Amino acid sequence: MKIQNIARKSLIIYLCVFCIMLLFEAARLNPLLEREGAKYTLFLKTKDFLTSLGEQTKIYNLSDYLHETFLNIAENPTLSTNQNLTPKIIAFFSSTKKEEKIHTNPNQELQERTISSENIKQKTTSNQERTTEQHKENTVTNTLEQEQAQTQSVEQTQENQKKQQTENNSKTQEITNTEEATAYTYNNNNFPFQASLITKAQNEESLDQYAVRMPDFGKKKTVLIIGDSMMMEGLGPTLHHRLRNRDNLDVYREGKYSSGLSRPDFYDWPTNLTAMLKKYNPDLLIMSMGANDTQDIVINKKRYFIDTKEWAKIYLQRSKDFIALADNGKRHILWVSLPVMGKEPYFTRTKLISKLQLEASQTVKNASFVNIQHLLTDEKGKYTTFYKDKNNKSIRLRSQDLVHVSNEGGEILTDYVLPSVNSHINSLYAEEMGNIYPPVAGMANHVVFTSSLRQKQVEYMIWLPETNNKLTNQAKSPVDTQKLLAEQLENKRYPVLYLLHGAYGSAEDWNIYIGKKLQEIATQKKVIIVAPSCEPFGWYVDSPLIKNNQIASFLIKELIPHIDSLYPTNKRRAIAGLSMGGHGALLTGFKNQNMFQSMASISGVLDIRTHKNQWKIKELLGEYVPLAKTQDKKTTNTNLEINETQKITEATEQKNTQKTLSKEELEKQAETRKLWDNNAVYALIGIKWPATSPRHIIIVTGDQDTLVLEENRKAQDLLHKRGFKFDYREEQGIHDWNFWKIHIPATLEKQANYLNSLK
Amino acid sequence: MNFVTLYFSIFFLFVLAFFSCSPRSLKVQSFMLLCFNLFFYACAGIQFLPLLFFVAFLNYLSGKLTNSHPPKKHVTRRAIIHFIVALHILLLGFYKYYEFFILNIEALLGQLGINISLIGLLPSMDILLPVGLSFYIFQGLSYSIDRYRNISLKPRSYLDVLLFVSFFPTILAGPIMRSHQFFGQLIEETTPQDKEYKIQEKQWINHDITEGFTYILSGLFKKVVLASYLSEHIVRDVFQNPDFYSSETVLIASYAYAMQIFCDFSGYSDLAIGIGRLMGFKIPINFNAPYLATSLQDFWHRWHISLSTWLRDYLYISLGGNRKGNKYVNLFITMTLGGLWHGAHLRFLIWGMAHGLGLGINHAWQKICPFSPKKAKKEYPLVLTKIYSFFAWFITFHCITILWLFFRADTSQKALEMLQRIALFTTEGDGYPLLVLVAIFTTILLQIIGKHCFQGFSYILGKLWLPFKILLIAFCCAVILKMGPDGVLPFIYFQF
Repeated sequence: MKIQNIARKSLIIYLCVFCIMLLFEAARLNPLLEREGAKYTLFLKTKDFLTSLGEQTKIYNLSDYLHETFLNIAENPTLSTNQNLTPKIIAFFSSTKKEEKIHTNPNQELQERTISSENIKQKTTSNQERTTEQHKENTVTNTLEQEQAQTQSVEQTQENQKKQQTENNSKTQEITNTEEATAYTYNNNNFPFQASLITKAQNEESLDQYAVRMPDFGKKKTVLIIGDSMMMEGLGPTLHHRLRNRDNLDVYREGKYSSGLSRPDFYDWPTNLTAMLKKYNPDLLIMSMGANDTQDIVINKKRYFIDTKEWAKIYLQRSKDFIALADNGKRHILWVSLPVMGKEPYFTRTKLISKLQLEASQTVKNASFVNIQHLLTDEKGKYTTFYKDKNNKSIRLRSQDLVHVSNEGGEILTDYVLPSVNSHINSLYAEEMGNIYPPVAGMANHVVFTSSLRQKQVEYMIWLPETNNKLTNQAKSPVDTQKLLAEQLENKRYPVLYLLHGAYGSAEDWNIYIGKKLQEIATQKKVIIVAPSCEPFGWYVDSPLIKNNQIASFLIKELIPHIDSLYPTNKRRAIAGLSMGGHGALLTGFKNQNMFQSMASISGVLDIRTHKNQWKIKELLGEYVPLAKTQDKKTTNTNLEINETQKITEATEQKNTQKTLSKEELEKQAETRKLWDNNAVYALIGIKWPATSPRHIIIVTGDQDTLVLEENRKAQDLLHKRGFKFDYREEQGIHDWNFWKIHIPATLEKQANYLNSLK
Repeated sequence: MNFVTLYFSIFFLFVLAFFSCSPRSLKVQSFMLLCFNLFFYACAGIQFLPLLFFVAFLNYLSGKLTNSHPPKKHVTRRAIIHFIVALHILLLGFYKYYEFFILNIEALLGQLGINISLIGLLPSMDILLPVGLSFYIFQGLSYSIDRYRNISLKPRSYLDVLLFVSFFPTILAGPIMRSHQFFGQLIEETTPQDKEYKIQEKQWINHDITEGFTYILSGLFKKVVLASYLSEHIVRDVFQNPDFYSSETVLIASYAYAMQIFCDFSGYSDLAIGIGRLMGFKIPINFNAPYLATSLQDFWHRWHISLSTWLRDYLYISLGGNRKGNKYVNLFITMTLGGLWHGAHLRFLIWGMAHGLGLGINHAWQKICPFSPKKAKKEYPLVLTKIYSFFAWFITFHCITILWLFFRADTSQKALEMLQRIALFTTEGDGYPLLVLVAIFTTILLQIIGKHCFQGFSYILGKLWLPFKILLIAFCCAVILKMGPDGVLPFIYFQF
């Protein structure tokens, strides 16, 4: 064996090469050397050059080049291709006419749909001359109605097209007797609004049937998906795929395996993000990362070990910086948490990372965080690699490393994440279009309107009873919707169910968890369901401390009039909510006599005074100092003596703080106390109006709900004592959506039945 | 431990350092190599070490029993080897097809009306996936079957067999070495240490080292630059969502994958060969410009040579080869099993079967029309033979490329989707960076002139003065690493 000799020689070379490579590696990480090392920059430049060459050409097909050059050479496209295009062009421009045709023949519509989308592409690539020429052809084949337009269009240039379009629109609208329609036609100038809307609604499969409607007007939105291996496989591709199929979105996906925020030396996300933002300028940024972040962070040669507080602090800061980098005031950001992991220490660490990311995402206005940790689990909520599908077949959700997500798992995650994405996109459109964007029956709608009390744009979700889609779709505005609804339904009016979300939540929660169910209730029970967004910690009170937190007034003075003015409502209303919303529902119900015929609390916080240090209530109402028993009597006597007597009698924890209190402070305390009492459901029971008033009250809690079970029981006793008629139930479950998913729809159905039974 | 990591480079530094300090004795050096092998494998997963010991033990036992003194009866020897092979196959099947079997049994039971979740009841095999199992089982089997077939071969000691099975450059993903190739190099030097010999030895060593480094550089270039680029910039995205891309892009992506898998796997093989060479071991080549093949048969003589020859020698011939039974059936079975060796997936089955079918057609065609461009040179004009070879190459290359689609796509559904997309001839959809074309072209060029480049480079390297040698290697190394992405993806063949 000559192994020794050869090893000796190769060792020399190998060692030297190894050392040189190490030096290079050190140089890469040291910016100073990077600047001075001439040789190294040469490499860097080569690499940059190569990558830039790759990036620049990414959007092109070789055939596109050839095609374009070919088009430039042959300036006049041949007549034959032109003729082929004409029916497509008709489909594209005479959208209002199209609508009825589509309704009669879904197959044809499908074809035309594909044709028209093809045509949009054609339109953008081809030159102006071609478009006008095609337009001539349309009008020839159009119906009598458009004869006038035909004669015009021969001379008309492209600008005139728009005018003609409005003309056509207004004509059809006259047929449906809508006078105000012309005022809103500017929406319709460029885009075939109705035709594509209907085709969309019918084309999309059962899942998207209940998803938020995607408007086909307004500017195209750009979505950028970024992340580590989680976005490179599993969730990323499926999400990308689903979003790509929508015509109003441009979707891009960028990412890097094994990257994260812990190791900028491996892959510098902030720098790369800046470059990506510059390149795509996305309206919505969807990101997910952190699976590789479960490692120590090194800053300036100091190592911060994972699972320590310092580490968490640094990671939080990095996440905040990262999301702040993406935020430009207008851009929406959706941060998707990591899925649950199958092995330690990833399992606990990713939970921590998700928590930190959630916190970071709350620092940015237009950002939201979707937690997917509870998905891809078994019935007990634990990690699972396989799951059983409908056909009882085991399907792999995770890859063999117990970390990465398979395609099937990606589908499940996408189903869950999609409503949030929809919500963001809808908000983007709502921001762009203002109030004009009309809600449509049969799906969840996001509507935004300006609240002067809350000094901001407020979003609510609304589910309308399923009616004749065709008619409601013709509406151009909420005003239209109401008119049409009212007319077409023979002046039928509906009761309204108001839903109040819980703490940490928003209107979107309802859509994510029970959107489908709510639509079913709206359709079957013929009710309108409205879910406003009322701040994650708004507590449905008028706060003296936070000026724009006037949610109690907002509900009564703004939201309800708004809903009543726009939608076909009768004056029957119900209010319901979960957790914080349960508190809100009963609070609003008890305070406003005869406003709501039915009220329901599901896992409601029925006595906020027992949570004086929780959930940011004190930021709204001030520090709550309960009356000590001894103090109770004294306050009824004289205030002056308190200072002295307290010194003697009180040996409690409050002693030190209490003794220094002046008279004003005590008065202030009493005031706050009054405020709290005024806003605690428990304290309001039977105070404002008599129990005899015919009310429908439902209270439901989970029997293992440690947060609010106690106060619900107390409230039940008191309601009973004061002689209320109510329905109180304790069902199996805890304070989570698994419980609410079952009991909220059940409760709402009861309320809807009750409202419908009223005369 | 991936070859393209800092950890491996440090590990290898230690290997070389220890060897250069070791005494010039076969026993000591073998023992040291064994220790390194075990350490290396333990890094991939310490829980699999017993399995490695077990496989080595099985083969040791087989060698001992079949070639014992006095020789046993043929029947007993056959029974022993059958038993050993069956055990190996069982092992391989257990680890690779466990989930596949259970899921299928479950589905079967489900159809019979029994709904139980077997996968939930039985222990999960997720973490238990020994790296390189299929490679070292094949390597071990070659030892056993060689001993069985050739009675004159002496059985080796247990430690020797373990050393062979666990040889660290080849354990993860081949090339699959034969026992004679390995043990032939494991000999004590008995030649006299005269002056002439020393000069000669120096030459060999120089040759080995330059070739070793050239192999490593070529492997790095293929893997880090070409394979990574193709994977990141076109292959992965297009295979995930083919319907986003224009027909042209999908077509380019399928070519790109053919190039990627070549660069990835042959890059790995080159690295293994180079690493072996630096320690004085000669590992057989695994690839010989496979995409220049003008027939499928030719392709399998050039692609993953160590596996195809293994399959030929131990499976095809055992089945009867050309003589016994139906040649075509034998071919088909061999290729199907060869496909299944890659893993328990329908796509590998389809791939293997298609290759078996293709080879059958190839053989039949040669029988019907025994036209060989080489022989026909004198009979026909040169242009005609050239055109014939071009068409033969064109058809072969495209067959292979299409079959790679089935090999790579997550489901055969997706592969068909890609083919449909190509057939649509649509320009609608995303394009690709034009640099991809450069990468594909480079890979093809590598097949044509790669050998000459290799020889030229190693010649120059051999002639250089030592410091320049070092500088040249370091320079190439740095250029390659800088041209690659920041993190190198794992080798494709590690999953098999």
